[in-house]
Amino acid sequence: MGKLIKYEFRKQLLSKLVVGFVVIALQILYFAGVIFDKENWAGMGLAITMIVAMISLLYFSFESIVTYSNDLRTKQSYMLFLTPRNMFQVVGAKLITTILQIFVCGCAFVAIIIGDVFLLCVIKGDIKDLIEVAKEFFKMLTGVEIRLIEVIYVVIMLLVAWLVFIALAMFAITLSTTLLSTWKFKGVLSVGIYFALDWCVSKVATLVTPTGFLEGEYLVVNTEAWAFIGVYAAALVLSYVGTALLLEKKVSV
Amino acid sequence: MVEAKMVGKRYLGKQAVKDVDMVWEDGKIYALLGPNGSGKTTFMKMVAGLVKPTSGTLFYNKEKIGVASKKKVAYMSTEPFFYSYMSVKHVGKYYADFFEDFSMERYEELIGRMDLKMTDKAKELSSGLAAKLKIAATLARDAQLYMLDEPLNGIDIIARESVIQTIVEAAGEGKTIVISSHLVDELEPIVDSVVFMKQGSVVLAGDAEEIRSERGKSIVDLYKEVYA
Repeated sequence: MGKLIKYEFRKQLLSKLVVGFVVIALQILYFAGVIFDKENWAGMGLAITMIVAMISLLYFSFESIVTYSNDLRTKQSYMLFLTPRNMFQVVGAKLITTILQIFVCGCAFVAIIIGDVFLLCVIKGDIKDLIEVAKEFFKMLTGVEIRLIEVIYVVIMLLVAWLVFIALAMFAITLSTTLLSTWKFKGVLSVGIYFALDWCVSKVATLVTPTGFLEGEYLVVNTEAWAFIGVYAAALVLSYVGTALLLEKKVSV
Repeated sequence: MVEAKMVGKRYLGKQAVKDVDMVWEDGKIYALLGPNGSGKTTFMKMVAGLVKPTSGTLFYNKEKIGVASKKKVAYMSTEPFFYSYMSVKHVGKYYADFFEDFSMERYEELIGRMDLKMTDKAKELSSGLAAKLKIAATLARDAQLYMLDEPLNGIDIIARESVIQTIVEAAGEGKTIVISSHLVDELEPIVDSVVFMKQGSVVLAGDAEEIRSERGKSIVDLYKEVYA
């Protein structure tokens, strides 16, 4: 599967290089601002880096879906489907590549942004207050103290929900190019299928958490909270298995 | 050996392949003949595992088409299909990564013989050179069955002879080669068997020599008769 992952990554390398160059340019602007004491430059460099980070991570997710769609709809599909690999490996490699890309790029962005803020604090002499400021900021936003379990829960929830988004999109595309391949407006149909599946998953998740896991406006990590994630995890597994089985049994490229 | 029994493939109300019964024996060179839309490409793609039949059964060495057969079958499509970032060298590395029977040494030799350079970008090649690249990548595998869909498309008349010679060389002992082409006269001297397809069905198939003596005509003349 390592080789499949390698080529999945290679197919989507260009966007990472472009983003990499943009971030380098922004960091040069930021450091120039810090060195020459131009607050506007440093502020602009940091702020745009944050915006680029958010847009890039969203774009990388969509790029994974578009790459998968191209793998089914263009002649490049032969590269994938001629290889002696079963479809569970092919789909698995795509999901793992997506996870790795977002994880690595996300970590890189977080490291750059924290590094920039840290440097600014060191230069301005506010290093001691940095963590306190961050905590106060969070408290101001949510009105609660940060607890580790809640942070972990939110991170897992975001990760699983985001993976379900990718996996459901892949399943919808596969469905429209296999079982529904003879239907008109396949592209529009696959979008409709995605929204229908997404609605079903969120409906089931709501049904298994009847009392909810919010106290007022605040999150409580109880059994129902984990059941909520469980539903999304099950949707992820079912989408993965469904996509691989459809490719194995029905794909014609 | 490839065995097809009542194999069919239907697309959007169109029957691309219809009730095809066919056997490809080991060690023979087959010509798969027919005009555009006769079902040659679809049938080859089914054997390659790119297209699933909608009816009938298709086996390679008594097993259903799948991962195991893809290890033994080398298919060259008529369309370019390499990733856009790839150079000739990348194509070789890709094949080496995925096909155990691929020989980089043989690939380099074929690339040299086909007047290609390792640094050439696949998507920037002329149609003739792109065809040669596909042939080189396919024949650098030590497969049991080679299926070449229109391998002479885009290749100039002078280079055709050398390409055909290279293909024949690949037909070692026990290897099966299936070539689809409109250029029947180029294939006639080298093929053992012929399959004529028309509108998705097999209309004539058999040993080339037997067909010639039974009908008293060359394969080229028969082609004109069947498809005129």
